[in-house]
Parts: sequence; C-alpha cells; structure tokens
Amino acid sequence: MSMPRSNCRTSEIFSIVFILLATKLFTNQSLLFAGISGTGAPLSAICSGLVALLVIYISTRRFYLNPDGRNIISLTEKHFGVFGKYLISIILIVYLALSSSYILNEFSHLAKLVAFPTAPLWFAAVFFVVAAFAGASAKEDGILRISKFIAPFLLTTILVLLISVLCQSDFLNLFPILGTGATNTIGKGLSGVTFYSDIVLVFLINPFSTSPKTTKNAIFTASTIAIIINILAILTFTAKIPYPLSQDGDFPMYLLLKEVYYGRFFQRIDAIFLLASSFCGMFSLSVNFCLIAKILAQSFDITHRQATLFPISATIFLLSMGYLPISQTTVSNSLFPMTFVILGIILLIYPLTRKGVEPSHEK
Amino acid sequence: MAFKKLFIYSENTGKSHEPLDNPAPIYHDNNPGKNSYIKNNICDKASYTYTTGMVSPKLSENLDFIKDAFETIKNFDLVIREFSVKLKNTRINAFLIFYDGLSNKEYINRDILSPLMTEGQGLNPEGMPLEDIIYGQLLTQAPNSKIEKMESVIEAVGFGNCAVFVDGCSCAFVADIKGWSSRSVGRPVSEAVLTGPQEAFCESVMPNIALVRKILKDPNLIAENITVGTKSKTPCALMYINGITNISLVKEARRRLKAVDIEYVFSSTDVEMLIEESSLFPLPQLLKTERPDRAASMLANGKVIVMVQGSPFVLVLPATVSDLAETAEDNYVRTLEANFMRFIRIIGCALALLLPGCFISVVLYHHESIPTDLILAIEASREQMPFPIVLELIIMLLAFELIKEASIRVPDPIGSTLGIVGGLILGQSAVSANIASPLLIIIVSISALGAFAAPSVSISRALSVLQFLFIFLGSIAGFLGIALGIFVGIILLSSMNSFGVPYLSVDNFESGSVIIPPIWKRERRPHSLRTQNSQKQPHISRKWKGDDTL
Repeated sequence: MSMPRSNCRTSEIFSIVFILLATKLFTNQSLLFAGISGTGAPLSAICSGLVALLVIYISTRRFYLNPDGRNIISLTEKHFGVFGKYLISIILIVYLALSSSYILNEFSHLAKLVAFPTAPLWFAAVFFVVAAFAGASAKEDGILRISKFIAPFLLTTILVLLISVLCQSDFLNLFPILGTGATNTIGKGLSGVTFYSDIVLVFLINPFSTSPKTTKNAIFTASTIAIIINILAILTFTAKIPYPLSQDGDFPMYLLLKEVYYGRFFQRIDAIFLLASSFCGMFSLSVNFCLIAKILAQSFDITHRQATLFPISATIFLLSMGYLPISQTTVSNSLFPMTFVILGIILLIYPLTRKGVEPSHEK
Repeated sequence: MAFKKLFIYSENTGKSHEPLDNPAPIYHDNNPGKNSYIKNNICDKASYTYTTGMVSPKLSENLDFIKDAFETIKNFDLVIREFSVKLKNTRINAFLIFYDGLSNKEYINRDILSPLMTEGQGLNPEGMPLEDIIYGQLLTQAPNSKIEKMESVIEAVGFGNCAVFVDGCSCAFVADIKGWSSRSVGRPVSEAVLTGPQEAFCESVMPNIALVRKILKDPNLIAENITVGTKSKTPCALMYINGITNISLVKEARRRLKAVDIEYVFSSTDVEMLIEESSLFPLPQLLKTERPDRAASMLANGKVIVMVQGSPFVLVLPATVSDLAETAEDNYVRTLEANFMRFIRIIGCALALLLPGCFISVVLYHHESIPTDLILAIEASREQMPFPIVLELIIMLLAFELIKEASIRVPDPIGSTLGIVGGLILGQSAVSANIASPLLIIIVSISALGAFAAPSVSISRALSVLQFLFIFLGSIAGFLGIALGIFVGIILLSSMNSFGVPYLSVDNFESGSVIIPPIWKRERRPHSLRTQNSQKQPHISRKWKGDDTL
C-alpha cells in the first residue's frame, strides 16, 4: 500500500519540540543560571523562560503559517534568490553542526562520568555518533515516530526524579531570592534564553506539518511544558544543592540523581538515568544530522543520504572532541548569537509570505 | 508417431544442446508462453497447436503436443487414455489426460469416460455444435470448464485436473477431479488454546477457504486466485472483505503477489519472504496463523490474508507490533485475564531481550546500581570461575540454544533423555564444574522463559538472536551500549512499514490494540488500516442494557 508519510502529525511535532527543548536539561548549560544568579537561579530561569516563550509565541503565532508547505530555505530562495538560499542554508548547517557538537560533547562527558570514568571521551562519543548516524539514515518517519516514545519516557523520568528529590530539598536554599543581585538575576540571567535555542529547528520541520493551525498550538504547548520542566528542575536543583556549588563542573541532573535513594535495592539510579539521557542525546543528534542532510539535499542537491551523513558525522565528531581548531567554549558561545541571526531571518522572511493564505490550509 | 528431433544430453557437461541437425531454437524467447512446453520437438512444428499455442481441432496435433509437453517418454505417472465418443451413429476420437495419484480415477470413470462413451448414443446432435453437446449434455462432472489455451490446459492437468480432447473441438474440457491425498482438518499445534475452537488449517487452499467462509458467512468475503511460481504454479488465495478492507492494501498485496518472479514456491514462508518489505529485519512483518478463527477475526478487522497451497499457515497482512503481541487465547479468556497475560508476555519479551545484556552491564560497569551485598555475592560466586563473565554467559546461552534446537529434532521416544541432559548442563552440574555461577543460571533461565512466553515462535527466535547483540553492547559500554541498541532498534522499528502501515502502530482501545478492551467496547477497526468502514459495531452494542423491552 503506497502510503508515504511526508507530514508530521501534531503529536509528533509536540514530541520533537518537547525533546529538543528538554534535552539541554541534561547538559551543563543548566548550570548557567546558578553560575550567574546563585540562589536566584530559579528567578533567572523563570525570566529566561518567559522571554523564550514570548519569542516562540511571536514566531509561531504570527509567522508560522506555512501557506504553501515551504520552509525557511525555500522561502528565502523565493524572496532573495539562489544567493539567499545558499546563505541561509550555510547558516543553518553551521548552526546545526555547532549545536550537534555541543550536544555530543556534553552527553559524552555525562556518559563517561556515569559509566566509564577511565575511558577516553571519544569512546562514549562514538556510541552517540553511531546512534545519530543510524537515526538519520532511517527515513524521517522513524525519527518522527520514535519521538512519540521518547517524549513521554523523558517527561516521566524527569518528573519522577524531581519528585524523588523534592522530599530532601531545603527551600531555604532559595533565599535570597535575587541571588547575586537583581542585575545579575534578571539582567545577565536573561542570557539563559539560549537554553531554548533549538526552537529554531522548528522552522525546518515546518513543511512536514499537516495542520498548521494545530501545529502552532502544539509547538507552543510543548515549549511551555518544556520550559516549566526546566524551571522546576532548576528550582529543585537550587533547593537541594546549596550555593555556592561545591561540585562545579558536574552535571546538575546527575548531581540530583546521586541524591536519590529508593531503599536498599536501588542504591543509585544514575546508571538507569543514563538510559533516559542517552535516548535524548541520541535523538537530538539524529534530528540535527537528519536536518543537515535534508538541507544539503534541498539546497545543494546532495541527495545520497548515507554518503552525506558519513562526512557530517565525522566532522561533528572531530569538532566535538576538539580535534578541529575550534574550542568547545567557542562552539557554545556562538550558539546564542546564531540563534538570533536565524530568528532575525525568520522575522524578516515570514511576513512576506502571509499573503494569500487560503482557509482550506487551516484544518 | 515418430520422433523428429531429440535433444542430445551431455553427461560430461550436464547441459542440453540444440538438435545436431537443426540448429534453430525450438521456442522463441519473444513469445515463450506460446510453445515453451515443447521440449523434445516430437510434434509438427507447422501444426496449429505449435504455432498458436491453442487447442487444435485436429486431435492428432493436440496429442503430439501433449506428449511432447509432458514428456510422456519419461513421465510414467501421466495417463493418456484414448477412446471414442459415441454420438448416435458416429464415433469421434478423443483422449483424456491426467496424472495418476493427483486425480480421482473413480470420478474419471463415472463422470467422464462412462457418459462420453455410452450416453451419447441416445442424443440427437444435429444442429448443435459438438462442443456444446459434450460440455452441456455429456460431462456431468462439476466444476467443469472449456479451455482453449494449451498452456492453461497443461497447468490445470498439473494441478490434478483431467483434460479431455475431442476431435473436431478447438477446446479442451477440463474437469476438476483432484484426488490427491491430503491431511484433513486437524488440531492447531503452534497456537493451541484451552477454551477456543480446535480447528487448524490444512495444506490445501480450498478447504482452508471453506474454513474461513464457515466462520464469517459474509457474501462480501472475496477469495482471489493468484498463482505464484513460474514452474510450480502454486495457487494462492488472496482473501479480504469487500467494503471493509482498504482497497490500496488489497491492490498492493495483489501487486506484490503477481510481481513475484520465481520458479518454485513451496510454502507460505517462501511467499512471506518474497512479499515482505525487508528480509533482513529480525521480526516478522507478516503474521502467520494456523487458526481459521484468528484469520477470520483479522479479516473482520480489515486485514488481508494470503493462503498458499501446501502450507497450513496463512499469512495475515499487514502486521504491526500490537498484532504480534496478540495470541489466539486472548479472544477466549476474560478481558482482565487477557490483558494480564499480554502484559506478562511483553515483560517476558523484554526480559528475554535485555536481561542478559543488563546483567553484564551491571556486573561490569554499574556495580553501584545494585546493593553492595548482592554484588559481593555475585563476585563471591564467581571466585572459582575460569572464564570472564561475558564468555560464561555466552556459553550458557549457547548451551541452552543447543538444547532447544536438539529438542525439536529429537524423536519423541528419547525426548525425555534430552530433558535430563539439559537439566545437567543448565543446572547444578554446570555450577559444580565451575563453568557457570548460580546467579548466571538464573539469568539464563529467566531469559529463556521470557523467550518462550513470546506470542509466536518467530518472535521467540528473533529475541534469542538479538539478546546476543545486547550482550555484546552491554559488555563494551554498559547501559550506554544498551541505550544504543534500544535506540537503533526502535528507529528501525519506527521506520519499518508493513504494507504501508507503520510497524509501530498502536491503536489503543480498538480491536487489535495493546490493551484489549471487552468485546462490547471494540467499536472501531484499527485506525492504522484506514478501512473503508471503520465502525465495527454501534456505540452501544449491548442494547439489552437499559432497554427492558428487548
């Protein structure tokens, strides 16, 4: 039966957005808030979350109309020609490569920390790269469908973890609520909005949406849930582990996990946590790899997926392991401005496409 | 009849050659259907039958062709009976052919030879075509057909029919008098149930179709005949319910079956491998059942079934994971019990697949996950073991697989011996010999029990193979390796389709779902099948509830 799936269902869009935004919780990026704001980390997280939500709201509600099934690349080509297409494609590929490198590095560190402290970092990274390669090599359907399994698994894991730690938390650790000062907490803390930078990937997923109207709602709802989960995690983390952090450099979720005690049999559940975090890392990398391959196919007519993915995987692996002359600090620092560049392009292009939207497209 | 040309068979090369004095090819590749049956070239190449591939009005031409096509020189079981049809005062030459053993001789004598040789005497044939007299008034056997294409006649005879050729008739009369020995309807072996029907499919297509029709009694139930195998001409039945099943699904199944280009097909497994999406995928992509009630239930849900002559297992397509989690027993026990057993089966499958790998991961990489006392006990039990734990586990699993495989082959009278040997290997003797630790024996046993709890043998076998992969991954990277295996496995499952239906389709609270609802709640057919009529029963099927007048 010829039933090729070329469109995302709303539930799949929801799951993908949720996973992409919640994945960073497992990285060290969530320490950013504590580093800047101290005990005011939850307030910083709330402010950043609200800003992120506003940006997501504007970019989805106002511009995410998908009038004729085009994504950001085809829209740029339509309005700015081939040059515009190449430019946006390169920006997106660079962003995706940097984001992948960051995720790969962080998750490899986490896996190494949990499972094999004495092994080299590349050993853990190889597993993620293989998973991402396999995930991206499969049809898009595979990634879309697996998201529906990972999202509830991820949500359950995080909630169980937070509830488990909650009973051991001391909420006096949240005071003073402004932490290192109002300027840091509300001003500098806003840079934490970069935590949600992967939302730009939604504009690449755009053309696969079957129902733009419900998709907009799904994106917004998933983003809201992910942001709430992130705020709750940072709140719990700040309440459990007093500032200043004595274990700087460790992953906050991992630190929380080490505190979980379910009785004599499950003395430590961090190994089981590794399964959940690994799924997220592998999934995020698969999505990134898949999108890079799709951009290369769309803009540069490089259509052979496996042949494309091999050099992509190798480059990102080398970049992530520091074998290329770009440090991980540069990589993580460049993600923030690049997010705004892409959002700026989206804000520039999408108003041009708002004409002629037929009601029939709005199911 | 003289042989005009014969192939020369070379003993040295094993290849047949062209006739020495006639280098021209006997049949032409551009029209193989017309005269591809000509082998020994004993018939006149200029004859009508040879040139057109149709039955000739001249009996001798047909006889030559048949003798050549069936190689009667070598084939001793083909019977050619020449006789005369008596019509009033005239006698018309005729002959019939059939395979001894495939056709029923009693029917031939009673319904074909006897009427043709004797009962035409009282008929007045004037003004009526000979074909109509023979077909309409003499041949009493039903089903009966007139066939003009010689190729079709040959196929029909090969399938146990009897073909009658009459001089002056440009068609052959083919009577369906199959009489081969076959197994009757028996009890299901691989899908035995305690409380359900005890009928199973047999090896013949027609009785199998009848078994399904007997259950469904639906005039919309269609059974299409599709022949698979260019030489074996194996009849297959494509069955579906018109008005329910998705037309695209039927078209795709028909297209795949018709597009199979293979010489011989022996079983439904052959057909399964020929029409499934990926042969390397470890899990079955089509469901196999030997139970007519289960096949009928699948048809009622909007699926398509394929029956293959010679196989007691019918193929149900498409198959999804929720179908694979189902057993025949599910429909014959109470809902709560069925759901509990299904849950146990799923847990069993997960244990079979992951437990050995997770055990290795915990012991090698994640000691902290289990109580200190337990890990100390594991280490203490392994003190005397000469092998690394991975090798120990693999040895025990291979030993178990060996016992499993041997138990299938071993004759019943000595079957109990195998149990004793198995008990020794996977028991105290292995522990005493310091080959395996007691905990490892428990792990292997639980894993084996989990695999046996799998709903079908094919899943059980797939799990047994895949668990070695997880052992490998667990041994090199602990839970990270296990995570990689699960992720790639789910990606593969997610990207797999079975006849256009996603393999991981889970239609909750519908028929064929993971959670089995009570029968009155099974209102809709599986959404993933996109059936023509998705409503299976009204919202309220137990109308007696709340209405005392009924």
